[in-house]
Amino acid sequence: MSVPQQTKYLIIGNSAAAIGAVEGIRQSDPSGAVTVLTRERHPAYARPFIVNFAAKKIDMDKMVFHDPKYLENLGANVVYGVEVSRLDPKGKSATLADGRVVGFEKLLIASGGKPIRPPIKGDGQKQVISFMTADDASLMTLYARETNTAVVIGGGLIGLKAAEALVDLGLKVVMVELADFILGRVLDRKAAAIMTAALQGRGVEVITSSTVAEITGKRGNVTGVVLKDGRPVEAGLVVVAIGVTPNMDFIDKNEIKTGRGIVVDEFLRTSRGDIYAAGDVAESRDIVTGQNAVIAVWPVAKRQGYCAGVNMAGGRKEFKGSLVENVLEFGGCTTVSYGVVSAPVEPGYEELVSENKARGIYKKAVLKDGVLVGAVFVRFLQNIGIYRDLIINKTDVRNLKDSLLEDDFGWKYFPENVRADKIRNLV
Amino acid sequence: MKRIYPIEENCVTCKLCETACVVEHSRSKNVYLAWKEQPKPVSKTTVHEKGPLSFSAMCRHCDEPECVNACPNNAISKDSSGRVMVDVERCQSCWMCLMSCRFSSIKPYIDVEPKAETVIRFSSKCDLCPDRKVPACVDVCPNGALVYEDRDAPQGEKSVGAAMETPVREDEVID
Repeated sequence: MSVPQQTKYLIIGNSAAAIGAVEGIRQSDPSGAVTVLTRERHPAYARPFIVNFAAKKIDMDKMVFHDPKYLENLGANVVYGVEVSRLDPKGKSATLADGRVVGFEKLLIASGGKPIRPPIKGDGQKQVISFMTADDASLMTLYARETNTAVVIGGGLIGLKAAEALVDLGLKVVMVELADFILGRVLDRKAAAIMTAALQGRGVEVITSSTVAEITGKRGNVTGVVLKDGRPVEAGLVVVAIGVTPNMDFIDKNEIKTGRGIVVDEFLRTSRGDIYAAGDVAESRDIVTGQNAVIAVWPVAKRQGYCAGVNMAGGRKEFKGSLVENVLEFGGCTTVSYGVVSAPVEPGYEELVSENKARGIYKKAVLKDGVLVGAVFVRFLQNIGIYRDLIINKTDVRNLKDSLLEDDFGWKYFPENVRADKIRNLV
Repeated sequence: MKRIYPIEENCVTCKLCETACVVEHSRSKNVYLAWKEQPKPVSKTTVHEKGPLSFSAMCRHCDEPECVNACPNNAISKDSSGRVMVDVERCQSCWMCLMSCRFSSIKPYIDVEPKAETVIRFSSKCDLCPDRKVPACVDVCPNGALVYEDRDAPQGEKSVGAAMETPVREDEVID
């Protein structure tokens, strides 16, 4: 589709938040012109599944959001392969990299995150890739054909996904993590140790407290890396998965308020009227800490996008706050985590732990002043959603401490009026 | 919309609802054959017990379902009748829906297809029995502990559930 000169609703980005926004806009405005601009060349797809796509377990059609024309069917004009280079909040227009200008009445910035690529000697060679998009995944598949070894720099969520895809593609993988344990942002030390064992179980070498000093190459092809202690590691493919940062280069920070991301209120409004932000680019209130944070998970992005869309179209929909929540799986070991995964050394915090060594189950709850603020589950998927509800609603669970991590914990442990509310009437 | 609601006081933990659900979601729809089927049909409702308390709980088919919001490839959606349905073909079993459901009404289904030796995985949840007028669990419940009714409707227009018709009165209980 071509780029219009003027549109009622402009959305920059085409992933979870954009999908939510188009759905939200259409709740109250069935026909207003919606234009979606995306750098990518694919219809909106399930970003978390690029791991399955890279490993060739699924095709693009299983990854796209329901069907390739999902947003078009909702009446959106999606323009692929275009990049916004500058935003003019006052003149209400966005300038594309090729110079074209799109005017808007309401704007949603849903440009997501971009991989952090710190200067590493030897980066820039073709087999050094990020792992965030379907195109990254295609490159991984391509380069994995030409080698048996890979290094993943970074032991976070994306690093884990990259390692999974590479192992599935038959490569020997070495993961290098700067901290002294992997997955530190989503798991506690104990759960991370279990995941490390799962990685090792599939042949991944996990090196912690280290980093890559240099990526080596020969005639334009990657040959490996050298760690900071001088140890060489052979690799024909290097994935840089150090982290993600909000993609907001096209805004002037004097014109729109930013912190770590674009600051939004509970209606997803930025500091400029008629401009909204949602998803991995936005900084919003963390429901647990009460502080503003960029929480880059699909459900938050989708919900924020939806609320923003409703509000942009003249409705009123409050976003109740973000919750860090992740489900990870590697080598048959599944972990789920919510909120605060390790109690900081501060008064008022308390950790409850339950383990079943025979079944490999590990569970942990983090309480602050008697209220559940976080939880971790390893190899346990039964009735876990209740913990999410308790965290979101800041439920006092100090009287339930003894049973909180029982395998059959659920609403039956609560008084009749709570059960009635949760099970019977609340819909 | 019509939803299934448990009536705690009427539940006697017989778990016939679970059995009826398994049979309804089997290929044979026969109670004898269902148990031997592979992949194994499972119940989408669960009887929760604690002391004298018990109730059967399944998907609430929420008005704003967190599972639909969480699913990254639209494998769960709310259809025009209000049912929240899993498209098993699209489901990549990432378990994001499980993580997000406050009622813990979605279960991970993992079984092996014996002939192909492939692992079958998907999110398993109540579908309100699309082939039936009244869901199997409600139909089978001998004591009116599950009702199928529209509580969204204004007061006075409530449909009458099974509980209204067949309550067990204390003086009817035989020792």
